Amino acid sequence: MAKSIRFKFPVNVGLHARPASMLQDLAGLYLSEFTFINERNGRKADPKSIVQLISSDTKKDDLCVMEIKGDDEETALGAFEKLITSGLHKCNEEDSEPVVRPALDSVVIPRAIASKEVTYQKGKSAVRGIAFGKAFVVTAGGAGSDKPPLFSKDVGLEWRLINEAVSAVTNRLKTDLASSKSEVESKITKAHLSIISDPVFNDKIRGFIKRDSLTAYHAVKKTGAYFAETLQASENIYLRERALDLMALSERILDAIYGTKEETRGISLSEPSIIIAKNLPPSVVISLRGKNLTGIVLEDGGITSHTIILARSFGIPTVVNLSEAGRTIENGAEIILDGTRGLVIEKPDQKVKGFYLAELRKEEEKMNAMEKFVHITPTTKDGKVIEVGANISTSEEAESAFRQGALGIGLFRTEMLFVNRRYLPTEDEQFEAYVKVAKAAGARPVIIRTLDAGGDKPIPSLTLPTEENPFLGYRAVRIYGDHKELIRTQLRAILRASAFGNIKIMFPMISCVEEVRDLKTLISKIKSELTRQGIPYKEDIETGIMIEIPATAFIIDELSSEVDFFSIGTNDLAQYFLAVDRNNKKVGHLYNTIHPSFLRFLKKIVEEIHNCGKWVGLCGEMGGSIKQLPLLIGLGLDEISVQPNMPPLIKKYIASVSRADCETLFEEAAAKPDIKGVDSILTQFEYDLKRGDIITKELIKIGSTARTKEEAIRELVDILDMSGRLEDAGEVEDAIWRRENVHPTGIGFGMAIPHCKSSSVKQSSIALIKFKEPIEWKSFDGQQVNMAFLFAVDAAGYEKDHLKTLARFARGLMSEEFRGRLASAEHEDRLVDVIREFAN
Amino acid sequence: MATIIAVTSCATGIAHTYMAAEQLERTAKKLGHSIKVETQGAMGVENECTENDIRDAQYVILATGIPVFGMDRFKDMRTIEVNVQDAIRDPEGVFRRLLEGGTARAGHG
Repeated sequence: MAKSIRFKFPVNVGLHARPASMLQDLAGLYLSEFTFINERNGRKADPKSIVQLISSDTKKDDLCVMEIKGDDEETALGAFEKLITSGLHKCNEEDSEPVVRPALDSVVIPRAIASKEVTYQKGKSAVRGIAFGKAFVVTAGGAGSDKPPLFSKDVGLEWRLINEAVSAVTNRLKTDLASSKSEVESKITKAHLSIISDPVFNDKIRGFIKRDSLTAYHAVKKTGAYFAETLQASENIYLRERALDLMALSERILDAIYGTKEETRGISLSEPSIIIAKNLPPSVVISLRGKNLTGIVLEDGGITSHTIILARSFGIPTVVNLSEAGRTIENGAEIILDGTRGLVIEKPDQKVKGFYLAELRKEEEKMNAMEKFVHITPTTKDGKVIEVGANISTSEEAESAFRQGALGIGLFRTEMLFVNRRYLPTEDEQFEAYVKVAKAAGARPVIIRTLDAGGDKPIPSLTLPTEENPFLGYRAVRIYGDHKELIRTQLRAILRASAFGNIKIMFPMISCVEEVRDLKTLISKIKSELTRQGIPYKEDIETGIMIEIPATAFIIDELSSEVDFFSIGTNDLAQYFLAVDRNNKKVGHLYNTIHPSFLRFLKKIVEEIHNCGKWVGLCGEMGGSIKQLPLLIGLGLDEISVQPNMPPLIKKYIASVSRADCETLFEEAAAKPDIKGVDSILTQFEYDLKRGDIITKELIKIGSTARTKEEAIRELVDILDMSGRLEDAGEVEDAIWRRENVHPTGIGFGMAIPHCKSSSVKQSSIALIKFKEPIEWKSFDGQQVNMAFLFAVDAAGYEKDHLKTLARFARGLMSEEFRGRLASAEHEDRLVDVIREFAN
Repeated sequence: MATIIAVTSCATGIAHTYMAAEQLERTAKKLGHSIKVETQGAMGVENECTENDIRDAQYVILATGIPVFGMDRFKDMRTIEVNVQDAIRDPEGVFRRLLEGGTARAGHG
């Protein structure tokens, strides 16, 4: 009796590595045989083989059938249904692959390198950044005349070679996995391990050897080509780029068979170098990280391959799609790689080097500028402190969250410990994960949320029933009653871990007081048990609940007698409140956390909680929206918990606003009749915030050593860029030159006023430099220039009053008296005063 | 003492437009003429010349780098067209050329 289910494939990018491994994982948990059939193209695949799945070339909305036959086909079907309806959707929302950036064909070539003397090649930007180094050209092809013959007389030998090679590479991959330092590395190594252990992949290789008497070399090459071809023929860019991974793995196996012929193995760089190759296996990037590898140039064009993902996560600037790079760039030559614009500059002269050194310095300064926000206490301008925490799903993320300045873990989602495995995690396993985070946190609070499974978070090791409406169904605390052992184990682990740090417990999906009381009773029991067993724990451990079910908003009083704190999960709260499934394409647009009704709702919740003297944080995605952040600050929350890489940005924002202004903003917003009204005042607030003074001390430089108009304009642009007023310095410089070329902006009297209007100018500004030595500007009066003012105006033209200021300033320059005061002012402060006096 | 109207405008419209206006105003004052300068810059048209202004004026100075809006307002008037740059660096020269040359409007001095 077989079971089968027909469905539309829901993943936007098709059946690529991630959904394929989800299917593979699921199939691996059951005894039944699975067969996946794509009805559109007739291809069949055994879901236990990730390679077959990927080769089915399944696209979004393809009609597919999954056949299941075996003793546990019933349960398997249930689990599979859940995977289709909710699990696979995860691939659409999460950023599991980097977003493919559109080709930057309209990149502005900086003036410094647009001149005739500079040789550069333009490819595609894959990883931004600047790199200096010697070209290290990896010759393509490798084993030229040494290639073994097609056929072998000794099948036994080939057999042995292939087995040894596969086993050697598998071991190496396992070692890489164990020593991998980042999740990105692990994912890639795991994907490779999955391919190399794939029975279909292996069978094909061995088939070529056994049946066709091919040498191991050709068997591997043909197998790689066979699967890669299917992938490359796909219309889907992601599947095409997976072919690169397959080829990379094949090369690795070949290398293991034929030893040192593999040119990218055993590379060691004796000085800062930029590798130039047709393509690179991820292993090379991993092994050379931090060992003089400053940049990468690839002849191939893909930008989503695992190699690129790694390079991006390690911050190694990379340019791709330079098909002649290996042949045209001299090995050992000094080159500069401009990963941001996709350029490789050969034999850079002093001018170009100077330009890029300045770019590098600017990048460092920008990073440092963010650095200073990492560890500040998030305080508003009028002195209110708001805690900024991080939401994590794995214990590994904790360390990085704290490095980014998180003041605590506002939400530790524990589901990851339970998914994708056959058996439930043991108490010790959980204990270790919780302790790891507690230790990383030190004295900082860690809020651990008990299991929130069901609905869209299926747990294979739990047989949860298939539901019509999982979102309103059997999940989170609701399953604890039937799964007492599960919640007991988790609570025991959390309590034991509480002896090692500042841990707090939080319960999801609470809808009534009874649920909380039952859980507290359970906690009491567990505490007694642990005491009896002599196991330490924190006696006065705090407990709290998520506010996600709207009903809780009106029993805050009663709940406050039972718990110590609350955290608002805006994602689910808004969905329940507005009756919208945000992932449903037809109605998703109705999901909006700035719906005035929702804002009024939030206000009620926060007020009630504070009236009861309790703490309230927010852990939903709303916290990560900079535009909505002032509303949250005005709401009066005690804490906002965000993605682990966001704390510095949030802290910076908090420091730039006053709570009073945010409160006013919130009141106005909540009183609006519709979302559009709220959105427009948020936009205005954002705009008013960004607007700074048109000129400040930081924008003035006295004693500049610039010697040419070019250097001067460069310096003026840099001044604005460093103060964060520009989106793209290159575009602004370009706009200035376009104006300059119409007619030189020297106005005589030793002054020049280069200017521009550009959408890259975030705030209209005046920058000013006084030169040590006068500069040639081609002014009409033939005189040189001692002082240059840059007027940069934001193209949106929002800032009428800034334009007025500039106009007044321009007029003022026609006055001898004003010019005199500008010329004689010797300090930046004095100059700012002179200008402001005049402009106001 | 002449009654003059002028229009200044320039490509980017944030600096030269206003500098030219300033120069024309100052110089007119210095030379004892009355002038009204309309600017067409990044802030749009300001100090627009009205029908009355046009009726009362004897001369028109157009100091522009780009086509001016409402050119036909000034047809049949004694006009001089100059570069914005000229208006800025040699405004006196502009006035001189205006008062010596320029197409006259029939019926006016």
